[in-house]
Amino acid sequence: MVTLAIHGANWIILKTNSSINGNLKNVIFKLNIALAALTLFSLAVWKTVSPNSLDNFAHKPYLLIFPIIYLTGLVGLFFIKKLKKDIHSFVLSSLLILGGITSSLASLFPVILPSVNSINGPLTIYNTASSEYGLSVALNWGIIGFILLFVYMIIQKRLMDGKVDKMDYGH
Amino acid sequence: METFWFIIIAIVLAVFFILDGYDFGAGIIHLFLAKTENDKELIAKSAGLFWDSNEVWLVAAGGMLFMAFPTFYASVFSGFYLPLIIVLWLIIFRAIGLEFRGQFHFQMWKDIWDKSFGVSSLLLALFFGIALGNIVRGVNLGGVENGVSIYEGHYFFLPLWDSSFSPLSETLEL
Repeated sequence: MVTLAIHGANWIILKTNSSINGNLKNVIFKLNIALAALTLFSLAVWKTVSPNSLDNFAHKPYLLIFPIIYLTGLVGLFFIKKLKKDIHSFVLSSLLILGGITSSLASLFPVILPSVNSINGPLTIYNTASSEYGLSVALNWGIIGFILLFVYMIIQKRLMDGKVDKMDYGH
Repeated sequence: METFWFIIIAIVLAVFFILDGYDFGAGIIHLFLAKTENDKELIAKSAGLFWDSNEVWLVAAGGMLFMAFPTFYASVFSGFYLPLIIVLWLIIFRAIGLEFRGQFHFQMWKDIWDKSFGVSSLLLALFFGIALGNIVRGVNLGGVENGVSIYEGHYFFLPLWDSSFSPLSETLEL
């Protein structure tokens, strides 16, 4: 919630000339302090609940790139008042989200849903995947889907570029 | 191939949370910090112009999970049935909050849909956070025999409330 509130505030600053934009930078700074505290707290809780949770990072040090992405966003946002371009703070909060999600997934890999009981094992990418044929068909459809998705995003980016203040919406 | 699809789905999910995440965040800011009508309209506009295209990434992630990891998809969608239905309703209320607020120029009408947008965004952020926490911590998985789930009522169906939450229950608990 705190991460998304920071990200949303950065988006409002980036896309609007709202009168609360100046105040939002202070809000982001304060929320970032709370986020840093929550990050430490959740790491401690995570380590208590699941003692082996960080083993993947010890065995495969290249996975540390993901927590580093998160930390870059977290530390960078403490300097939000000094950043000259609004896009920079938006990129930093994007790094927070990217790093947070990828770190969580990297810590689990190849498990995708751990089991908390000792009777049934976890779901992994290997015991839940489609057959080799199914995955190759998925790839073909995936390529078509991605092309459509990227074309859509490019068109939208061109149509909605800049501040939204003068754009018509919802009437 | 499995690892490839895991990476692709992780990227798509991350892109979804980066793109739709600012909509949720804008809703939270709208709820607590927007005071003037101009600010409320601008913030709603900054999310309203983009929310539908951002959610394409959620649909893409769901489709890819279904294609690449169908057992995981089935387990999660049945296990998290109730929370997912609530998420679906919250997504609906957030979207109609954005789309309806500008349709009539009555203050009460706008206030209702502003609250719908803000509260839904706040709860969506909360629910997605809880979901991520549950996925990282793990759930009480049931067994599968020959591709069919063994019925074990107490396994991995996580109702938000059950008979023990009833006011008639002797032991009240969540």
